[in-house]
Amino acid sequence: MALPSQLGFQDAGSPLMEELLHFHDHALMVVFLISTMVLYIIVAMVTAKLTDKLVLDSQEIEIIWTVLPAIILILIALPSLRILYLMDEINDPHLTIKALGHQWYWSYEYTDYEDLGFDSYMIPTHDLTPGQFRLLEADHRMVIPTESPARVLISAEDVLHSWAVPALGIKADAVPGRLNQTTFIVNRPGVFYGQCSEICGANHSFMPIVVEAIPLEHFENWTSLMSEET
Amino acid sequence: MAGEEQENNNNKGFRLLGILDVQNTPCARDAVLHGAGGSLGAGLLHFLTTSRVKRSFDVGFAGFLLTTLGSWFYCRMNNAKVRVQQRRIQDGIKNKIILQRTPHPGSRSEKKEILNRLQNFFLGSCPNLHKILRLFQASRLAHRRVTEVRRRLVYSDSSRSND
Repeated sequence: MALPSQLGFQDAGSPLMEELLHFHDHALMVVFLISTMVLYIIVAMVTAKLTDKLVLDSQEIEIIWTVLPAIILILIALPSLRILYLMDEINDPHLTIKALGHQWYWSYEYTDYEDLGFDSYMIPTHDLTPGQFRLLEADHRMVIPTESPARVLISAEDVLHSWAVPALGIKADAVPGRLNQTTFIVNRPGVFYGQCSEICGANHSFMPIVVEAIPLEHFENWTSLMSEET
Repeated sequence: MAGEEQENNNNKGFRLLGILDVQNTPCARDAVLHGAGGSLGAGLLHFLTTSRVKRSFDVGFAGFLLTTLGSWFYCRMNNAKVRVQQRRIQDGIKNKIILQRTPHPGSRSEKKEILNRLQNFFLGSCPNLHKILRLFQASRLAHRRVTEVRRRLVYSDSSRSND
């Protein structure tokens, strides 16, 4: 989850988010260098003597400041496009989960092998136990096995919602009457938090998403337990 | 506890020009330090040769840009190679665990390594065992060749029947 006053990204939980982090670092370095160059030019111009006021043209510098930005843009665009197509790859998912947005909770359905479905409501602040996070905890978490490609089919039952988990690099709109698909692999066991990312009414801020990644043998135990409960 | 430490790191993180977090971004600190060194070196060298102050500052700044970029890309490429190797190793370990105890557990080189180790281990205790091991290897090779020939015959038969 995000820490208080955190500006940067959360630690990556999936390979896709790792790639996004690396691309972000790369783009930020380019931005830093350009900013440094602009700052240097400003200082140079402010401290320059007022000679050479009648310079009309200079072919060399015109070529430089046309070619250099083109090269910089290519350096940024190539990794960006690579990640864009990487996000659309479908890696033969082992598990399919349906995430449906309602006002104002999420419901998850695991219908691959047995009929398992449950709702996920936010835990109100007064019901939190010590150590739990305000406005982020849910009573039932979406549990997935680690190191297994998973597919989430996202839709909505009433109005627009958006299913987002920043640590996994996932955000997909939940549109009534439409199925949006996203696939991901979680690298490590853990709990990853997200929040609804499309305005959907009064309690839009109070329908969090909690994804819990656990090893496969524990996942099988969990499905059996949840099937008995429901 | 870990969260508090991370929070302290994030709060204390030094950002160059308010943009670049040099402490938490991989390769950033090294790239900026190399750039500073390159800038100093290039500017000083130019000044010593030409005695032109302003132009030396310009050359120094150009040196900073080029050295920072060069160090950044070199470090990032190395990191990317290490990441790819790491993923390959992880997949290899996973495949090894999954394929354990199957009739064909591994690659040819893996079997060769196991046979070599067995040979080296037993040679000391039983001098004639290496002959037995060679016979075993020969029989395995013969079995593999027979299996291959059978597979080819079956494939050619099935392709003839399709025709």
